[in-house]
Formats: sequence, structure tokens, C-alpha cells
Amino acid sequence: MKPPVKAALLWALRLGLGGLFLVTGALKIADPTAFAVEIHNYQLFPALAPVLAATLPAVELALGGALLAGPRPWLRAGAFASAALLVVFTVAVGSAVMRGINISCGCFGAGSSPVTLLTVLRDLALLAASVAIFRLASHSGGTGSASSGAGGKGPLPSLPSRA
Amino acid sequence: MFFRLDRPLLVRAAALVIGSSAAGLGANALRPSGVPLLAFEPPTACSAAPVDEAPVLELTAREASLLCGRAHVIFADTRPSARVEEGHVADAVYLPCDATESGAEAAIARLGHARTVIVYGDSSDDGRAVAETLRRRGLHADLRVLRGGFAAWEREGLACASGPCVDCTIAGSKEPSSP
Repeated sequence: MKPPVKAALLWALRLGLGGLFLVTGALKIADPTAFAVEIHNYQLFPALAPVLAATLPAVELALGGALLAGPRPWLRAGAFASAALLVVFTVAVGSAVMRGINISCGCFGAGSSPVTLLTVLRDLALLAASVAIFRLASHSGGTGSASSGAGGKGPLPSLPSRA
Repeated sequence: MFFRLDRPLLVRAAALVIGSSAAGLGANALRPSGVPLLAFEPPTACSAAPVDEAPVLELTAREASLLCGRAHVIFADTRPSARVEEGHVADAVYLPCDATESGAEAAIARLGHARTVIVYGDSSDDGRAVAETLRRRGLHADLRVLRGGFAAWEREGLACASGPCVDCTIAGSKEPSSP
């Protein structure tokens, strides 16, 4: 894949996933008690529901910020943490589907759609996007803020010459 | 391999997650509308969204009274305690809308062995909301709602006389016996 195409793809994924995390984080942080009930309904770790309801929206906002505006080292870290978070989300919704419990996914705060196989597939797609961002940010250059700051250090390749 | 991991990457990822989690906990503690971390007990919702599949069916007071004598049939009363004290179907499980989580769990555990659960409140809508909440929480029993609520039961002059709806009979009394 040519570097400009990689850069465009990386920006598209950053905007999509980062924007999505910012929106979901903002929706969930508006009503943490309702979000705690949604988490509790998964019946996985009900005692952790209030702690997760207090922390997850802030984590999503931070990851959204890192994906959208972070310099490359933080972009890679954000993509890595996003992938880890989405693995947890996918396992949670997958277990709900497997157990056949009819609950709202809580993905977008109150009023989210019920958990179905489509929810699992959506989370898998978002997980793939996180992995793609990580790999593109590790191997491509010329992606705005991702190539600035401390991004030029470490294992990242230098920008390709267009001379 | 999807990720080429290195120490700075892991440190930054941990900083993002731990730092934002701490900020979230702090903001939650400062917000009046924050979720209580230790005393959190989700109520049994009386405003559950309608469930499209496997709809909860209604049955009339007469139809419900016919099920009264059968094994594995349980009535669940969703009204406030004061209303329950005024009169209720004998041996109905008390499952009010404002039950605490632990209270609801205990009540749902009692419903778990039933094949048919007949939910009633002051109205059909009260019973339906709780029945749909029970369905969402994985109760696989045949869930029915008493049409018209307990008022309809009273109007018909019905009562379960005794026991957990095993030996109960249809009585003409308007004053249901206590469980």
C-alpha cells in the first residue's frame, strides 16, 4: 500500500474510532447510575458495576482523545488500549448472546439497542480497526500529529522521501 | 503478530487507562449525580423497554384463578407493601417495583422453579413492566400479566385460599387470605 493511501486510511480510522469513543464516553458519563445498571444486567461481575460505570466513560474519552489528537507514541498506546478494551467488550456481549439473556448493550448509555450477534460483530469490527490503527501508526508516516513530537523516536520508520 | 510490544508502549497505555480511571473516580465522587460505589443497588425497573420477542401475554382474572390450583404456578405481586397488606393473592411472591437488588434477587430465586409466573400490580401496565424486566433478566418461565391488575381480581371476588397455589380454590370472598 502506498504511503499516501496508508496515511488517508489511518486518518479515516482515527476519526472513526476516536470520534466513536468520544461520543460513547460522553453519553455514558451523562448518567453513570443508568450505565451501572446496564453493566449489572450483564450478570458477569455485578459487584464491579458501579466502579466500571465511574471509570469506563473517562477511559473511553481518554482513548478517543489519544486516537484523534495524540502524537504517534500516544496514538499507538491508545490503539493498543482500545484493542484491549474492545476484547473485554466483545467477550462481555458475546457471553450475553451465548447465555441468551435479553439486555440492552449499554454501548451508547441509556437507550442502547439490545445485545445481539450484530453487537458482537460490530465490536469485532472496532477491534479490527484498533489493530489496524496500531499497525499503520507503527509502519507509516506523514499522519499529522502522529508524526510529530516524540513520534520520530523509537522503532518508527522515518518519513518516506518524496523528492 | 498484531502488536509489537515495547515497554514505553505499555507504560503509556497503562497511563492512559489508569490515569483516566482515576479521573473518572474523582469526578464521580465530586458529582452529586455520581453512582454510589459501595451502596449501589440497582432497583427492579418499572420502566423496562418493551421486549419485541417472546411477548408477555395477558390473562383475565378468571383465567388466572383457573391456574391457581396448579403446581408450578406462582403469583408475583408488584405493588407497594401498603397495598399488599390491604389484600393480595395468597402466597404471592412480593416483588415490588422499588425492591432493592438483594430483595429482587431473593424474590426472583423463589420464582426460578415456577413454570408459569403471573405478575400483577395496580394495573396491567405495572405488571407488564415488571414481567418484561423479569424476562430481560433471564427468567424463562411462562410469564403472564393479570389484566386489570389486582383491582380486576378483587372485582371478580377471587382469592387463593391457602398454600403456594397448590390447594387453593376459587372463593367468593373479596378478602383474600394471608399467606
